[in-house]
Amino acid sequence: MKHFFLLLASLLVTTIIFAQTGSIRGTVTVKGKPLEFGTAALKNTQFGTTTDEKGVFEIKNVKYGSYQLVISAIGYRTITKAVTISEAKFFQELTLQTDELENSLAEVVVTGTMKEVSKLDSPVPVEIYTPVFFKRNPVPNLFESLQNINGIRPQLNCNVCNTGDIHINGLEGPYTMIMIDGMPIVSGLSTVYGLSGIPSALIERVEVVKGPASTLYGSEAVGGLINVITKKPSSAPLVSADVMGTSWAEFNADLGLKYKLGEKIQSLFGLNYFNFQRPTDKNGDGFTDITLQNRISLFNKFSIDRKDNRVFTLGGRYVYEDRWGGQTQWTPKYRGSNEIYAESINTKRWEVIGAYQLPMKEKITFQFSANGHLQDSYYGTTPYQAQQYIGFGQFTWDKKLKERHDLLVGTALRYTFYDDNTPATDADGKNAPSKVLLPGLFVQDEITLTTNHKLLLGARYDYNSIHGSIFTPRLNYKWTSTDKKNVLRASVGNGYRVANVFTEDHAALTGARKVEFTEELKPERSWNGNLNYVRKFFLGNGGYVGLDATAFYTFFNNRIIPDYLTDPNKIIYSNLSGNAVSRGLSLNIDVSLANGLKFMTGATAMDVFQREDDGSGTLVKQTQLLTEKFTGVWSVSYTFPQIGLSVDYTGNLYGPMKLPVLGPLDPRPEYSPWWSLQNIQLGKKFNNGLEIYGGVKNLLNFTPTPDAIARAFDPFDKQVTFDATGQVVPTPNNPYALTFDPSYVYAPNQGIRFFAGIRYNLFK
Amino acid sequence: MKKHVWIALFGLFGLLAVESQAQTLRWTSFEHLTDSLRKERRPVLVFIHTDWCTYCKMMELRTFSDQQVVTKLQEKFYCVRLNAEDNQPITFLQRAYKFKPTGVKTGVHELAQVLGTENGKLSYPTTVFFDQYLQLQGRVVGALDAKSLKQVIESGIVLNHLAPER
Repeated sequence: MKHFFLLLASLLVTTIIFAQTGSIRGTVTVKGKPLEFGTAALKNTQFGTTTDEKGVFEIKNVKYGSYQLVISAIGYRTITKAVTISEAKFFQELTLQTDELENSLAEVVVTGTMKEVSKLDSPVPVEIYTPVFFKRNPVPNLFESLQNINGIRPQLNCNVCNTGDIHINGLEGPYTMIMIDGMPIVSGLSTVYGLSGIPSALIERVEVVKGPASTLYGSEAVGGLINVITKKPSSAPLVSADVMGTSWAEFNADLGLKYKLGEKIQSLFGLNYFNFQRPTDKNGDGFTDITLQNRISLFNKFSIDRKDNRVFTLGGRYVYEDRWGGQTQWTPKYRGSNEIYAESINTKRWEVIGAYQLPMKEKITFQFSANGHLQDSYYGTTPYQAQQYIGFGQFTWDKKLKERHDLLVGTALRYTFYDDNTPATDADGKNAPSKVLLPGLFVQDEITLTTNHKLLLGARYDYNSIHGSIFTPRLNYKWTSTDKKNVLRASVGNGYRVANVFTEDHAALTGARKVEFTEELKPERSWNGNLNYVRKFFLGNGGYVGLDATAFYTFFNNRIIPDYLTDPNKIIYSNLSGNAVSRGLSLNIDVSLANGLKFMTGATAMDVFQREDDGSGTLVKQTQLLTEKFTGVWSVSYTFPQIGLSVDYTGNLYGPMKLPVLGPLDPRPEYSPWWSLQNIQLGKKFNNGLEIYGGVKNLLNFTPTPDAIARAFDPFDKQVTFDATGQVVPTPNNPYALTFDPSYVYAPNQGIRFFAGIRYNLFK
Repeated sequence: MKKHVWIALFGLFGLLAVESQAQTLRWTSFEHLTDSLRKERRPVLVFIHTDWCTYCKMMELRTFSDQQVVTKLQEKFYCVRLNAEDNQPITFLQRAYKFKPTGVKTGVHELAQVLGTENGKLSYPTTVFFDQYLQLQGRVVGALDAKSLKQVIESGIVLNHLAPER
C-alpha cells in the first residue's frame, strides 16, 4: 500500500515538471567516425544513455538546470562538458570528439547504478607465481632462491670462497642457459651472476625447463633453461624496496623502479646490494665460517614501443663484487702472501642483452648478447687474473606453414675471448689468449600433429674454430590431454661442451692442490633423455593439486671430471677413458587448498657416476664426488586472511655425498651425513603497500664438521713433511699425513640465525 | 625394479586421469561482441587470463565448467575470454589494441591492460563485469569459484536498470 502511494506521488511530480524539461542530443565521434556504445550521462543524476551506430545519443525529459554531461567509452578519455537546460535552451545539440586514448577504464559516471564487485572475497589468491614462492624463504639473490625448486640446486663449490654453481638434475652450471625475458645471456663464466641484481618485486615468474629444451639456445643447454620473466609495465610497482638483515650482520637491500623515457620507452630498474663484513668463526677452525662479501648489482631494461607491435628490448647489468674468506685475522695487506691465508676475489661484470625484430613482413628477430667478466683474485698465494669477453648475435626466422608447422630457422655467431695468468692460456711460455669463433646454423620445426600431440624436431650445426664441427640434433614430444589436465613430455638431445676448468671450477684454484693436466682436454659429448609428466587436479572446493614427475638420463662419451683421489696433493684433469652417467627420478607435489593452506614438496633421487678404464680394459664404476643421491625440498604456507599474517615453513634435506678425503689416514668420513636446513618465517601485510617479515633460518642449527678444512691451522703446509716423491709423511704434529685442503665441502658453515625485513610496494 | 616403479606410477596417473567431462562455456570474441550487443543488450563478462597461470586454468576447468554457472551465463551474459599474452591485435570500439612485447615471447596485450588494471596493476586471473551498456561495473582480481560467481550473477548488480532503454 505504501509503495502504491509513493508511485502515485512520483507520477504526479513528473507530470507537473513535464513542462519544464528539455532534451540533450549529441553525436560522439572518433577521428570523424561515429562511436557506438559510448555512454552519455548527466553527472550526479540517474539520466544516462548510450550512443547508437551513428554515434547519436539523446537524453530526454531532463529537468531545467545546469549539468555536467559526461561522455565515456571503453578505451577513450572521458569528456566532461557543462550543459544548461532552460526555457530558452530546452534542446541542446552537441558534437563531441573523443579521440584521446585512455589506458585504464574511465571512472564510473552514473550515480547510484554502480556497485563495487571488486571487493568480493576471492576464495583463492591471485597467481603471482614465483615472487610469492621465492619470498617464502627470503635470500639475497635469485641464485639462492632456486634452492626452493626441486631438482635445481645451488651448490657451494668452495669452503673458503663460497662461490656457487647451479645444478639442474645433477648437471653443472655451464649446462644451464640463463635468459632474461627470453633473451639469452651467453656466458661460460659464472652463470651465477646471471641471476643477480633483479629484485623479486620486478620478477613476474621464473620458467625452468629441465633437460634439453631447444636447439635455439646452443649445444650446451642440455641441463636446462632458466628464463627470468620480468614484470610488464602494467603490473610492475612504480617503486619497490626490500631491506633485510640477519643476526649474523648480513645486510641486503633491493630497490626496483618503473619509469618512462618519453612516450615510447618503458623501463625497469633494479638494484641489489649485499653486505657481510663481520669475520665470524663459530666452529673454531681459525677460518671465516662464511665469506665476507660486498656486492652491488644494477639492472636496467628498456622496452621500446614500435609500430606493428614488433619487439625491441634492451637490457643491461653491472655487477661488482668483492669477497674474501680465510683466516679471520686476514686483512687486504696479506693478499697473496704466505703469512695469512685467504681467498680474495674481486669481480666486475657487465652484460648487455637485447632483441630486435626487423621491420619487414617476415618475422625475423635479431638477438644479441655481450658481456665482459673480469676477475682479480688470489687463492692463498696463487693469483688468478682472468678476463672473458663474449659477443653473441643470432637471427631467427619464424614461419608458420599450413597451420601445422611452426618453422624456425636461424643462424648464430659467438665470439669468446678468454685470457688468464694460468697455463690454460699459455703457449710455449708466451701468453696466448684463447679466441674462439663459433658460427652456427639451426632449424627447428614444431609440428602440431593433432590438438593433443606436438612434436618438435631440431638440428643444429656449429663450427668451433678450435674443435671443428659440432652437430646436435634434438627431439621433443608433448602430449596434452583434451581437458588439459595431463601433460606428458619426452625429450632427447645431444649436448656438446668445451670445458674450461679454471672458469668453471673454483676448486682448481684453491692453492692447496696442484692442478695437473695429463693431456689436451677434448670437448665433452653427451646424450640426454628426459621424460616428464604433469597432472593437475582441481578440487571441487577451489583447491588445487599438481603432480610433476621427471625421469632423466644423460650419457657422456667424454666428461672432464676433476680427480681428487689419485693424489691428495693434486687435482688431475684428463679426458674420461670410459663413460659417465647422470640419471634419476624426481617428483614434485604442489597442493593449495581453498582454506589458504599451501604445501609444496619435491624429492629427487639420482645416481651420478663414471665408468673408467682401470688400465686393463675393464670399466670400473665410480660414484661422482660432491654429488648426493637424494635431495628433498618442501614448503608449507598458511595465511590468516583476517589479520593478513602469513606463516612459511621451508626446508631442504640432503642425502650423503662422497667427499674428497686426503689419503687413507684421513680421519674425516668419506661420506657426508644426512643433513637438513629448515626455516620459519612470519610475515604481515598492511594495506598501504608495506609488509614486514622475519623468522629463523637453519632452525636445527646444522653445520658441517668443524674439521672440514684439513689442517686449517697450517694453510701453507709449513709444518708438513714431504718425502722424496712429494708424498706427505706422518709426523707427530701431522699424524694423519694431511695437507691443508678446503675442498671437503658439503654444507654452508652458517648455523642458526634470525632475520627481519621490510618490503614496500607502491603501485600507480 | 625401476621399470615396475614407472609402470605403477603411470598406471596410477592413468586411473586419476579418468574424470567426467563437464559442459563448458561458449565464449564470444571481441570482434563479435558489438554485433551481439546490437542484437540483444546483455551484460558482459571478460575473463583475463594467461597460459601460465594456474588459477586461471582452475577457473576455466572448475568455475566456467560448473553446470549452473554455464547455464546462467549462457542465458544472461556475453562472456569474452581474453588471453593477456596473445599477440593478435584486437579492434574494439574503433580502437586497435596491440600486443606490446617486453621480450622474446613475452609481453602484454593493451586491451587486457585497459580492461583489467586494478590499483595500478594487472594480475591474473581478473574477471571484469560490464553492464549491458558496456559500463564498467567491477572487477574481481583473483580466482572466482562457482559459488561466488553465481552470487555475482544472481545479485543482478551487473544489470543497469537506471539508464533509460532506447
